[in-house]
Amino acid sequence: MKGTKKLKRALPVLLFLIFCFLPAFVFSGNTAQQIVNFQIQEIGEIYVSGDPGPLIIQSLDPSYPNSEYDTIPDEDSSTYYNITTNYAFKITGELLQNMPQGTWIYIKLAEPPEGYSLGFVVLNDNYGTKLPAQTLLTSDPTSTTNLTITYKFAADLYAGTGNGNNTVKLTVLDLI
Amino acid sequence: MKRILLFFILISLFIFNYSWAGSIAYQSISYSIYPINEIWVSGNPPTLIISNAQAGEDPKEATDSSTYYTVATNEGGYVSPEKPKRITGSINQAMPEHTKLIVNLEAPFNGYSEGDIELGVDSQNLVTGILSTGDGLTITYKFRATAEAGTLSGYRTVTFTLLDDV
Repeated sequence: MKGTKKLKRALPVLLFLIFCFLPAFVFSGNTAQQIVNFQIQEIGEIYVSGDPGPLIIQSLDPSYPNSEYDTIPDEDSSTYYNITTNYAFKITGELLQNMPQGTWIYIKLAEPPEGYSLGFVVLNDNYGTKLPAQTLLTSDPTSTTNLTITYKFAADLYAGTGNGNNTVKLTVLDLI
Repeated sequence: MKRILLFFILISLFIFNYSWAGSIAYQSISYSIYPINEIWVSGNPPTLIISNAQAGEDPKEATDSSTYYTVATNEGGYVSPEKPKRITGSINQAMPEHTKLIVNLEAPFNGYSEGDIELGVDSQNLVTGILSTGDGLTITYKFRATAEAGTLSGYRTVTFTLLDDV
């Protein structure tokens, strides 16, 4: 009777000790196991080397009036981009402001391996309204540097004379 | 001190984000269009030959409209302030006595032809108020002579000049 009482008193302490040391008991010994979770999140990083030089139109196309733009377009290929992505992606180009009517800004991105450049794509319509456009598609992840960015500036005679500036936004997006 | 540190962290984050890193990159582009003003002709007209007359009157004038000109300007567009142009004409040497060389230029859509103008060594307006381009515009020459001119042959170089119409 006395022993039963002692056992009753000791039981909670015993249970507590078992509860505390059970995990150690289970996982110790000559083997150990751990569950390691891992994850790679989408990475899409694009870097441009700076701003292109001024784009200047100063002469009439010799084949005017049968030429495409009336004047000779100017091009700049002095800048480049680096890109790292771990998913199929596309790059879109977008002007932040409208262009004067009768002028056009084109952009062409050199393609990374396995990529497909859409060549010169126009970033505004015939009225000068900005027009976001896809410039490059690729189905493979890539990490590539020094890919040329080419800009082309074209104008017809009705655009008049003058100067200005605009900003181009290049965005890396999931292909799908 | 903490506030200053936080301020610099926020500033650097903003710059980092805005300029070039991440999935967006920005490039600033600048562009200019300079004035373009050009005029050219399709070639030389054939010889203007006066060869007949009605008895009692001066010989009949010779006429040619086989050549044309093209004028291109970007200073009449909808971006820059309009800067009308004009075309003047002159010849390199005065015409022989009792003869006249007359020219008439067809005007472009936005322009005004001065009509028949007798050419001399001094430049004269042929088309004024030009605000647009035009191509395939007819050049008409007339060669007139009175009987006193006798017989002769010669040539003159005609110069067309595109200028500001002030």
